[in-house]
Amino acid sequence: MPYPGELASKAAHAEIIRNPDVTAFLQECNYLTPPSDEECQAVAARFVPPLSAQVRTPAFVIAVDGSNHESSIDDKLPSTKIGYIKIGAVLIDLQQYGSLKVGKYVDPFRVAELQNQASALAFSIPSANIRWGNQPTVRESLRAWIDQQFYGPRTRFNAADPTTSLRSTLFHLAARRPGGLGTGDPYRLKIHKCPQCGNGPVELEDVPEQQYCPFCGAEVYPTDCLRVWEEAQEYQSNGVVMSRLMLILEHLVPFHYMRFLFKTAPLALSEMAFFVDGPLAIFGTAAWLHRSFMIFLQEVNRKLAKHGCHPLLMIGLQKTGQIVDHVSLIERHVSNDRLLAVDDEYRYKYILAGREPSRGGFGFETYYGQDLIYKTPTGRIFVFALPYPYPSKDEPGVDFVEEKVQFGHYPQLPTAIALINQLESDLYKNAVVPIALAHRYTAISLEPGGKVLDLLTRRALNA
Amino acid sequence: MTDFQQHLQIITRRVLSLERLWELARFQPNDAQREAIIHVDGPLYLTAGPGSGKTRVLLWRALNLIVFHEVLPGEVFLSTFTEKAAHQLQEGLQSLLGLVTNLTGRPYDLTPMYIGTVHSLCRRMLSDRRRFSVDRQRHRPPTLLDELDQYFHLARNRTWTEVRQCAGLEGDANGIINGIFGVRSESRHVAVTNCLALFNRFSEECLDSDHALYRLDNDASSLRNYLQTWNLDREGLSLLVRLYAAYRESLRTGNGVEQTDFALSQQEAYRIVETCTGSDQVFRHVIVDEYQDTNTIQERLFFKLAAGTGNLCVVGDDDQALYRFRGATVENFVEFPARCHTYLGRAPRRLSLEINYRSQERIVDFYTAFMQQANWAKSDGQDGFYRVMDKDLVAHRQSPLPAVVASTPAEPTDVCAEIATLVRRLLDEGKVGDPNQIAFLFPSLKYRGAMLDSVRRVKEALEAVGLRVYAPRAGRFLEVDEAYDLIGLFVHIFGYPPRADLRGHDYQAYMEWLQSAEAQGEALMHSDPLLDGYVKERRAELVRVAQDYRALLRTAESHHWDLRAPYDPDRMKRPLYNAHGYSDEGKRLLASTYLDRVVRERTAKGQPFTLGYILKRVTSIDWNVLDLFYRLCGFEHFKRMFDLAERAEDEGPVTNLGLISQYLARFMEQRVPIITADLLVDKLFQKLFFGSYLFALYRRGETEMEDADDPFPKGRIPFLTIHQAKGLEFPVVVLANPRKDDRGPQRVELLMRPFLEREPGEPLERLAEFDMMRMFYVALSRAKNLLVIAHYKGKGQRINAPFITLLDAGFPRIPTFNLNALPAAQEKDEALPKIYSFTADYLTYKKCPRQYMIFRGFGFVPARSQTMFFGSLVHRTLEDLHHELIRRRESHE
Ligand SMILES: [Zn+2]
Repeated sequence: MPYPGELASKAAHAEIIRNPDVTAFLQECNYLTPPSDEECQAVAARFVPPLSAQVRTPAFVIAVDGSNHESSIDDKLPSTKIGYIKIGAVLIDLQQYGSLKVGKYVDPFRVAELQNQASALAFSIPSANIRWGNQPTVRESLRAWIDQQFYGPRTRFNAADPTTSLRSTLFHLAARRPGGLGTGDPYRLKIHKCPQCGNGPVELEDVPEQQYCPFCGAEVYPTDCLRVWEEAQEYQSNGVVMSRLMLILEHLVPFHYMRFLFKTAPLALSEMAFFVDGPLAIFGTAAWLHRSFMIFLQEVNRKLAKHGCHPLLMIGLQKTGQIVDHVSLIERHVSNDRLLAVDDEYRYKYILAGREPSRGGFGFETYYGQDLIYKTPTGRIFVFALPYPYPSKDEPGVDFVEEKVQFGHYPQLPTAIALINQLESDLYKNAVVPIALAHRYTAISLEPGGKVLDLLTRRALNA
Repeated sequence: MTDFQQHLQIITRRVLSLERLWELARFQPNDAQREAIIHVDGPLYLTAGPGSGKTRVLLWRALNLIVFHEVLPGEVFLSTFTEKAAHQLQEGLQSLLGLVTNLTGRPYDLTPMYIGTVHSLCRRMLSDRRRFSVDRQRHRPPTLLDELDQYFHLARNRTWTEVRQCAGLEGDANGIINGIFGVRSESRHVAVTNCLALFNRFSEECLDSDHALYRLDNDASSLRNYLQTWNLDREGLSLLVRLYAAYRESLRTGNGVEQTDFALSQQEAYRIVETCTGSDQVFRHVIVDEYQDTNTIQERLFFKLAAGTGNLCVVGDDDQALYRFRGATVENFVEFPARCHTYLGRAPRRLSLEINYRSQERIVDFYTAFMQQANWAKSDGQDGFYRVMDKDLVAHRQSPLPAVVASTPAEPTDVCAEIATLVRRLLDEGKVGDPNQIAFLFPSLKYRGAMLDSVRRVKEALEAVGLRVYAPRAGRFLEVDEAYDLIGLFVHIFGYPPRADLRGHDYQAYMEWLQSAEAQGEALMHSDPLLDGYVKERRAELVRVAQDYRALLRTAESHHWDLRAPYDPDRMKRPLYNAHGYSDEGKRLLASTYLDRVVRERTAKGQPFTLGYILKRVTSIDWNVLDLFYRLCGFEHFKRMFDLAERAEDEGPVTNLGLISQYLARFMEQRVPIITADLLVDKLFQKLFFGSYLFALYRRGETEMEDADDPFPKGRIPFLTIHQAKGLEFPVVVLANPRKDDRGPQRVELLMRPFLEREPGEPLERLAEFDMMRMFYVALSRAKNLLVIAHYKGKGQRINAPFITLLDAGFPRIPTFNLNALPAAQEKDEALPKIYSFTADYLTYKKCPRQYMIFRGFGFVPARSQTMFFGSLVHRTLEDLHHELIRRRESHE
């Protein structure tokens, strides 16, 4: 995701607001207006000092961030497009990181060195007017190609072992899906319907062979369960698919690490922190993943607890969005080193402009983590999220809406805060170094206006 | 390599540190422990006081070497004193390495690691041809005889006669042999037992019989003086050496296969290391626990194994040296620094574990003061001490509260009553949770197979206040109720052995015991008609197969068929089938098509069955003694014992049954694996089982190996010898007899000394005192919260000198002792992490919790029929129990 001001075209913004038609329209709308000073003070009073606790910060941070880009394959064919997604995963050794700070500042050269421990997964997406292989349509090309890339050796922890691929991780997560679409078997998953004939569900296995719909005989792919194909366009840009897939991947990749470490070296997970960009939530057609994540995290934490280890630390760090906007309005009223868990009442009142609360609480169908706002001792504000401490939102005997905002349920909260304070970065506003690094890593090839990718595209398709 | 894989490697390489593992395992080593764990290069001399966390240090040391210093498990040689300790260490290590695997994904395999008692490790070396390939001619290592086997071997008619003849003794010379040992007896049993004790010492000291005889014949005046001083006779010594040589010869040639015993197998291992080049580098680290209890040959072996690397780590406590009678020479430990100079050419690093995590401060103070009561200085103008002096034990549990208390000095009956009342109160007031947390320790429990009076008095006093005792080693094991029950039923099934031509008190007593058992069996049958029916059926079955066998034999004889000739069904089957008196059941076996097929197949292969084999086969019983044991356990009388144990009310009976199952298994393994009818004719089986095997157990007062890993049953107060208590700890320890008389040096020691090839060490006349001090030190240091000492006074009563001094007028006494100040015993949390295996533990437990309890908890030996046993008895009763629990729960609600 772009950082504010990074890909800016601010000039246009002011123009629009000043347009009288727009002003008139806005007057008929409900939208968030800056709160009064009084309101601000009331809001600020809800912030409390974080619980102080002896913590041991993790040894490693893995930060994941993605970016995407679409380009035409040829100047003469501007409407024939291919998309690129790049998911960067930066591994930071916090001991090394400790030596990066020179006085108040971070040594940029040393930071650059850290990038050597970064990995990037590149995905390409047939966008408009491109078909892959023998596939008859863009939609089918897209499905086949996505599946192949999820399965490919680049996504594997062990290139020779396909069960370490990202696609196998998807199997593990899909198997844990509650309800009829879960299988309980990490080598089987169900797609809710066949994209071709619409019958379903269709159960698939984690095998290399091509699998077919039992109803119509058409090819079906395990990654169809992400349902990104539903938004595929034949003749226009597939930017929507691209950004959906990118957002999914930004969350899947950390779970990919977790899944593999959990299997091979589970206690190592207690030494790690995972940063992802944005709230801990999955929107859209793959929103079901959020439940699998919750269940999986619960399993991991149970095992860690069995060995006397702390729960896994996963942090969703938000650089943009409604909360960030809201925070900028009240920021100056909040004292340093203060924390707030965003509860539903607060959110609907101050952040979502009085929108109707949704069934089961905010984000019932999408969120797997709790949003928190923290102002550091140095006065910098961070909006971040920690995974909910439950495997579901309707645990018997748990008033989820109430309890999800109790600090006491988040044993990893003090560690998260300590870590944020430790990593507080001067590189970007509202960011901490890892996520910024991850972002920079993915952004690198995009910098010269995507020219490099354009070239690559052309070469690849012409060859 | 993918980026992901690279990340993974970076992570797993870095998350691992010894400190992190300590944190995960909740272990906070003190400074000395830490140093001992991370010491890697060169010899290490680790003195470890009682309860100082020695085992943990060993565990972490091994882990540190394997995980952080690239030492392969197969390059570690770790010798422990008991198999139990080895097992504990191995499990602990496995569990900690599992933690490492959980952090790094790197698996470890401990199977190549040399960990176990010296005996088992020597044995392993002898068969480890890959690494110690010296004797390529030999096809397999000699069969190892354990102590009981060794006894059976030498006591066997043929061997004993041969050995005596080889040594030049004519006729029945048991009396002569016993005389040399200072015993007036004609008994072979006594002679064999004494000889074996000495032979083992000879082997441990690597005695060369030719050389020893030469020395006896060409004696120096010093030898003459020695013999005179101790009133020994040169001829007698010479005879013993010759007997020893003959014994060794009998092992080599007897029985068709080469045999060896524990002591000799160490010599063989040593010889292999000596002759096989590079064998001093096979192990990068040699670690020896309980080093104070090693003997001469072991010391040589350890130094030899470590000669290539210098990495010899010895751990021990000279104050806890207990096994002189097994050849242990505590000087090996006390003089370790000097020996290191001699053998390795360098001084060891010295570390001392002095923080005691076990006992209350007052207890530590008491036994420290106790040790200072003796004079340990060397005599004869030598400098130094017979003890490691620079030890300064500190209790981790600092508390000024009294934790050592003595009885009022009085006659034994009063003392016992006072102590029994105290024990009762400890239980009633919840200071201990179960009687098995209070151990009564004695220098010895029995004399010549019978419980000592001093022990019986204590037992009776406890029983008078309603407490039960578990003392399988006081008296003969065969005299526990469960042995009477089971063997009694066995007598009814198999019948008495033919009366042997044996005289002597032992045999008389044994036959009386057998009769009582028979009567007990009869009573059981009387009270349970089902059991009665079962026993009679088995009896009839045995009678029938014996008759069948005789019938078949007669037929074979009448046809002049040779039993060794191949069985020819075409010719023989019909006459056999029609044999007069041959039962229908037998006929079915003979006529079975399966048998025909097998016979045809073997004939076709050119390996036909002999007629003799076929006769046995068609008359064999389809159960063995262990099967019988389990089926009998299914009857009400025994079933109740399992119920008791399952409810944790009394585990005593089941524990005893477990031991019985082990003896039966041994009988099957060594004597009669399958009961065939030919053994039943002429009562050969009965002779073997009752007349020989059980009789030997009875005579030896056999219980179990000293270091056996037997559980202390819940619901009973354990009575232990101090030797048995070694390495254990209890919330409350009662030293029930602080008296050990000085009977001078042990005979075996006296007989051994003239042949010693090394510095003799502690002077003979001081041995008894030193041994007494060390033994009581072990007893006193077993206590965690409370140490109770019986203080006897009156006619014929005495306690040893250090106690007289320490238990002075101001000493806390039971009547004024305030129990309230005593901390309650904690539920025993395993000091070492225990790992459970998936198949042996989890699956068994899942399948059947009772089966799990019995096999894993009480050491029952499984039999073929266990499935049947558990199929009927266990599940039925388990279901009963289940229903009972549900019923109770419902009635509560
Ligand atoms: Zn279909």
